[in-house]
Amino acid sequence: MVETSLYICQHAYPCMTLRPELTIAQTIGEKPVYHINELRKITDSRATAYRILSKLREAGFAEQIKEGYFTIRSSLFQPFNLWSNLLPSLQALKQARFFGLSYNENDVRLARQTLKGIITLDYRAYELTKLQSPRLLFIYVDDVDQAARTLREHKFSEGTQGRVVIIPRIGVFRNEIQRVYLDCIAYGGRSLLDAIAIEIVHNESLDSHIRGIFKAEDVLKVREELGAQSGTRSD
Amino acid sequence: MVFVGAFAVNHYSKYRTTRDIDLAIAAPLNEQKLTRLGYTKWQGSKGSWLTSRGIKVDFYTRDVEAIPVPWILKNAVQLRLGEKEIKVICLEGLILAKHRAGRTADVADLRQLMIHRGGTVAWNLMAEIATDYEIAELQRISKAFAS
Repeated sequence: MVETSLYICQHAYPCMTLRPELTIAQTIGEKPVYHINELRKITDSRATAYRILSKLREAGFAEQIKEGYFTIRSSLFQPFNLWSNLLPSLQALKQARFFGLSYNENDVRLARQTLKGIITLDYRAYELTKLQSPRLLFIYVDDVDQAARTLREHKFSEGTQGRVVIIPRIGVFRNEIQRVYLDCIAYGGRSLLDAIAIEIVHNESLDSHIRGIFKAEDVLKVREELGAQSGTRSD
Repeated sequence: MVFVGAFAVNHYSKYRTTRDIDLAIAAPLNEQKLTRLGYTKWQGSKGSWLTSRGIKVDFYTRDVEAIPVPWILKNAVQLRLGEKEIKVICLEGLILAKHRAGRTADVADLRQLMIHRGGTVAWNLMAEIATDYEIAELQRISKAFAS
């Protein structure tokens, strides 16, 4: 099947082209961290490897952690035709800003009282599924700078360890559960389990044409966890 | 009895976890005793059990991701949890188990463990259970996340 490039152009972020050639990066496999040489092995040249990495970083799939080393979100391994749906979430996550005060649950409580916005990922997924304990409060806000000022007025500091994460409101929010589902897929890692749980528990709220692809072992794990919660037992 | 799953991950690196419990135990599983204690057999894939509070428990009696249970028990780390003392798998065993498991959640856990504890791994202890290739790969990950 011939796949065409995805041209994505939405309000509040620049137009972006995701070309199917980028899917070559999917053959790198899922690991905690990668070296540029690993990308080099699956591309024609070192220059191509750097160009692909640059495109992946631009889209929000990859993040450089130090010279030569980078991480990849597991959402990269989703099918190419889902990428356009993930892009608003990835772009928002790319601009995430972390804030902390006491660096515990109190920060989350205070931020929820203080900020106006739409909660997604950990805490919203927990409300929807009760699958995994939440850790970070991700909150979509209309004006990130204003939200940052509000948090600073409440003595929060900005850094990398805080549990309150403000992200710009990018993309479509008509179906809130669908958006949380896509955010979970885009964020990847353990949030992928949240996405699976949302699909199981809130299947009727999701667009049947926009679905992630998950490993059977992850689906099995989530099914078992949800089953245990509901108290299903053998005889 | 040693905690080897989410509970152990949360000890070394505060992170998201599911409610299930994974335990390595020395003796073979005594099903009658578990039933007397209020556990119920779970219909899932691995012969798991459910506590009376609906928490799924998996017991490991031989190995965890090919790490022998006797090694896990011998090198476990003792913790105080309120009034109680419990044991969790040592960092080296946990990292290797996550590396070998390789599922999406395990890769995410391994990344967290390496970010927060990668600099404190006792590689000589890990050498008792890991291959040279595994150690080289894990050292490379640790180096990448070192500040």
